[in-house]
Amino acid sequence: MSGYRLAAGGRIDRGVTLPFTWDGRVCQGHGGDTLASALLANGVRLVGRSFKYHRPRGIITAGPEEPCALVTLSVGARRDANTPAPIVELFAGLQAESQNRWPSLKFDVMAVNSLFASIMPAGFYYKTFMWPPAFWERVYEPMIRRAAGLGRAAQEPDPDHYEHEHSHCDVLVVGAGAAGLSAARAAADAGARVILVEQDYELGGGLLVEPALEAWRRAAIAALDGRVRVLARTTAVGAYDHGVFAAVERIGDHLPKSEPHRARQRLHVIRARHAVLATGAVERLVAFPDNDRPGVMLASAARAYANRWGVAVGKRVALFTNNDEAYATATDLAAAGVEIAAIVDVRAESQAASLALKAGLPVRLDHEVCGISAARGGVHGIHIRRIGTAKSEYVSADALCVSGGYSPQVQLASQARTPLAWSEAIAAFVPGVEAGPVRSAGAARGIFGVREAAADGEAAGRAAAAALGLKSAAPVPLPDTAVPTHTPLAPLWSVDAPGKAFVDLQNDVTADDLRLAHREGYSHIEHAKRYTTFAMATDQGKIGSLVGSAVLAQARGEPVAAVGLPRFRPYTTPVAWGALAGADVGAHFKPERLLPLHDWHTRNGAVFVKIGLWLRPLVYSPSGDTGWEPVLAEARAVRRSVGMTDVSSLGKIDVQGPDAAQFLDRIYANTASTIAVGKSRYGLMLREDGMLFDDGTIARLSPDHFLITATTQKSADVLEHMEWHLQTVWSDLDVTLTNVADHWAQFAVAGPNARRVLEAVVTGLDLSNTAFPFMALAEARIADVPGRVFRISFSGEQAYEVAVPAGHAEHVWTAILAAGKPHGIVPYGLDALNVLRIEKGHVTGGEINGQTTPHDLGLGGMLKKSGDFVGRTLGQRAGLLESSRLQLVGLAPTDVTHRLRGGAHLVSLAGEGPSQGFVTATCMAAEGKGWIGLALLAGGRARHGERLIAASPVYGEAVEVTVITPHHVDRENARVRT
Amino acid sequence: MQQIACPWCGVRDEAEFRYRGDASQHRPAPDAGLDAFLAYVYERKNPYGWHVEWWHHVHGCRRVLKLARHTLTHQIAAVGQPQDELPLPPDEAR
Amino acid sequence: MSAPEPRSVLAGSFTPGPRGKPGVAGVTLMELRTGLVEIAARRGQETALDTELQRHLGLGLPEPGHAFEAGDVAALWMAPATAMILAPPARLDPLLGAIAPAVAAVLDQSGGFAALRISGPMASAALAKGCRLDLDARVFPGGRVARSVIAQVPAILYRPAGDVGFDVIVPATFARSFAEFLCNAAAEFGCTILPAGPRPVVS
Repeated sequence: MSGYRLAAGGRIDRGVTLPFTWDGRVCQGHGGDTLASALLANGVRLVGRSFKYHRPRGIITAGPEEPCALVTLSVGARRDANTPAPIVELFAGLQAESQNRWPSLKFDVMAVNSLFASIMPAGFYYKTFMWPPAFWERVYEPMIRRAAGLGRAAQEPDPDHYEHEHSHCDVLVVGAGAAGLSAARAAADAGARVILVEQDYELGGGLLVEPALEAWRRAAIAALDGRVRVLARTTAVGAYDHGVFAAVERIGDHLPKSEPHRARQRLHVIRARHAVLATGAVERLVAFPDNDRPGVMLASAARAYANRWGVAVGKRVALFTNNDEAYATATDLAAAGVEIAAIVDVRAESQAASLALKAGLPVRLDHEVCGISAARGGVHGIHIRRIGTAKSEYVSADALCVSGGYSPQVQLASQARTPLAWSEAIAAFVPGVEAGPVRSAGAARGIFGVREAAADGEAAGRAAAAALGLKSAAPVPLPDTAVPTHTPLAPLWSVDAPGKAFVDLQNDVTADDLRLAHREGYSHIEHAKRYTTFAMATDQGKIGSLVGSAVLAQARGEPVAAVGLPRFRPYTTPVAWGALAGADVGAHFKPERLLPLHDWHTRNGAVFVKIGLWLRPLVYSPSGDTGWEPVLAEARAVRRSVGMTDVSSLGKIDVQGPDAAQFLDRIYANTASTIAVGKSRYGLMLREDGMLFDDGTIARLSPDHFLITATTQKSADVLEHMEWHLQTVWSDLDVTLTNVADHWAQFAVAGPNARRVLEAVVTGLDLSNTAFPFMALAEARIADVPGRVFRISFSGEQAYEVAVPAGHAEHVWTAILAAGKPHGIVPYGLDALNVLRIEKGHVTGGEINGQTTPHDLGLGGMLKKSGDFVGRTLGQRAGLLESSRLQLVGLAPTDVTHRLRGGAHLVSLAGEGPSQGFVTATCMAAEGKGWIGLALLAGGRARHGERLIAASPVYGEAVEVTVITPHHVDRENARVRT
Repeated sequence: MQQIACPWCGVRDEAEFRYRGDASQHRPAPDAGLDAFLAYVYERKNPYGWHVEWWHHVHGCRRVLKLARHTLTHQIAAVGQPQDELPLPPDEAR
Repeated sequence: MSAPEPRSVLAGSFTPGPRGKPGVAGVTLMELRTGLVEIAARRGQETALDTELQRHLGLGLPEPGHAFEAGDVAALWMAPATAMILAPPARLDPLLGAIAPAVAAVLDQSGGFAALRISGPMASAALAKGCRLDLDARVFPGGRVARSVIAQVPAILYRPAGDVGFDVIVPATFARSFAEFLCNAAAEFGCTILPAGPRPVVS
């Protein structure tokens, strides 16, 4: 317990008291607090246990770069794990819990890991848990997961909703500090459409800790009003190709519950013509022993807690620095009445030190911190020594502020392909040559100082506008700050003293781990990263990855610039799955395609099946029984009298033009140009490699006008295939392709009484067998609706398909049903359709599976003998014509009571040997008894009569089957012509 | 998300397009023989650098476009009609 | 027996009334009852088709990304030399069969699509939740047309002149999913569904 609320100061609203709980304990904060500031104000120092060693950890930062203070928020379905406490806005009733401790934060059983740390070096898991491989999944990983982990996710469905927004702008400005505010203003002044995103809930960035600049901050924000789209609580998490950025807006995270009808988070996909990255800089740690003890904090964070939230991080605070900027923390804390125990500066001299000494602060130049004394898990003193000496001195302190310098936040710039360059002046990487429309500004490119950053931002905003051809307006007013003279920092990465000196506080990676990685050959930064897991945690090493690179550079004996940083990839901060999924979840994961008759099917007991995007009736079963009885009843009605099924989901493409016939001759493997007007033909499409692509019908409406159908599943692919060939390969042909799939509702009326039924509703067409034979087509009126009638059959029965505009679907469908009533007509679903086609040996997607040729399926005779078509040459390859290939056969179990399983493999009667093929489709027969099936069997056409075993290890079944012809019903195909 | 400047529709997300691969391949004459078709269907350069490609604007004008695109940087140097010969920038030294 | 009026795919599912946040109507949705005909000029027949369209409908073949609208007829660009004509069925019936196949492919698509008008101050904000295009009036002003995909549904997007909102035309089989997306996207702004009716005539 060492932090406390200062008597005055900060941007908090002391008039508003917000109760919240921390690990069940009731605490209080104020309006404007974050969870982190409120915890510190309540004297909470220990907030979590570390990932690997379960070491006690506190709050290190005041922003999203926080590696340690990860907490779980809320309970039940809204439980949200691994949230950095500094970004959590406090609200009344917030429930927060610490993570990775058992049974309690103060007494953690797994802290024993810490004692064995010497035997858990980098690469420990790779080295130890190597053998046997099967143990990884069953033993090692669960064990490691239990020992090392973060928070647990909620198990219940997320009660909140999320959404995406597609956003567009001329200039995207990321970050609303002095640079970002000025950039946005300059671009907007020039007339650009600007979006400004800021991850914080308040605009201002570094200005929020500078009370003296409050007036400028307010004026800068007011200047954007109504002209710039300002998105607070919005983190730009990724920069992608061609000026596309992703940003997550947290709409409801700061509320106890999302507002009704509003999303909790919104993922913006922003297309920006130009971008100004004013993402600021993050202070970095120094790798000295025990630099992870609760009470150790970045200097800028301690200053922010004092100036923005009115919280002192300790009663007696020490500072460890290599730069002048960090002195502001000591002077501000001292001004707030906090005792300064020591300012430990590794440099021999500094202007800031001289000023501090003048102010009476205890500055220790040319010194370093070489250790921490901790009690009850937190700092109670530091050990310091003169650089280059071994003897240390103890200084009592309950908090240590650390500054190793500032690293520009270059993640987005790097993702946008801006190369990084090493800056000696700030000992950090900065964006290098910026050639494209993405510019960095202010601290994000190493320009420090509020006025300087604001000026740099203005220049970037102006440059972006100018590149868009927009005229610049009057200069943006800059804050009036004294330009301080600086003594340059002295690069400081690690302190050579015994003890764990962390470079990655979240993944528990020490400087020694990186040195070990180098010794073991993992010297490349990307290898060292993966070997040690450094910079791979959710914070992505924002405060430590440069330190890690520098330690590795020292080990390699090379400059940091030669080592570089691990590659930055989206996302810059963790993103909720919900935000990524947006509204495309649950029932809305994909849009549904509904048949024009969907409502009728629903009202009449259809059980639907989802096929691709389509919802199609599987069987009409008002009782909900989806067994074989209702299916076979439907199929038998077709075989014995008449049935009708909705085939509206078929792809339908209108093909017109003087070259239409020639084009179809090349697209189909059989001939279209010889089809008579008023006739249809079954057509096969191949891929250029000779494999079957799709099948359907080609109907000739007039000499230059065809209508083709494609299977439901392939309809989009078929249209693309045709368009691509027409536009790129045969662009000389004058053909128009129009997708008319949704305009036409189409029903198959099938069975020995099909004609009798249709004769009652069709006018303007003689349906007699001679006038309208098999494969004929004509325009007609069906139930007084102008449409088309095709005499085609998938069921193998006398059958017709009628097509009418979709708006008339129900009228025509019910009229046909009424006309069929005397014949006992029934509607039939996909299951019955499947029974009928399996009995006929007609192929569908199970057989046209991308690996079969027309020859394999017994359709080789349909291929035209002369003339070019897609797939002709490669389809003639000897290997594709071999009789040993998998060929279509029929199957029947030797014992008719035995069930056949789709996917079962065909093996020898002894049940042994390699698979000779597999079952593609099975059903109970409507005509005949028991199960029948279709299969692809090696050399199958020559093996009719042979007995085999259909083995289904999944079901533990082995069924003896006899190989038969795939044409179980009406082998002569006579019924279709009756 | 790559942004493709469709000559008909304007700049659009790549999600509106279907990628159809190498556009430097031309379908051989019908009687060119097996080897020519094998090369057409199976042989691809997979270059590190500039690549001529088919992009089919299936969620727009349904035209097939020819793009000169850099496989590493995703920079698009030119967008044209299927029959256009696209000038390729020189491949930079690696 | 006589054929009834064609039934809308949205009938029974897109009930007029308020949706989402009560008390406000940031977005107004209305199903448009319209006939649709897709017309594609034969190669080299663009001018001839333009003349034919002028003769029959009083407007011509629109430029890429644009539309012509006059009275109760609108012609939306679909693809090079291709347009979708929106008009009351009675206006379109004479067109079918009136243009020679040598000039253009003329296809009735009235059953193939559903058309919705999305208006109100938050119309583009609601659409932006699924539409990838920049709908800012400076970029996509009245008279512009785009084919794109909205909330995973292929869509023709048309902004009529006169700040009346957007007309979105989607394949009929996707219409209910699309209408559901619109209602959900508009919920936070408050949404009103109006009874279906013909496309308002441009004065």
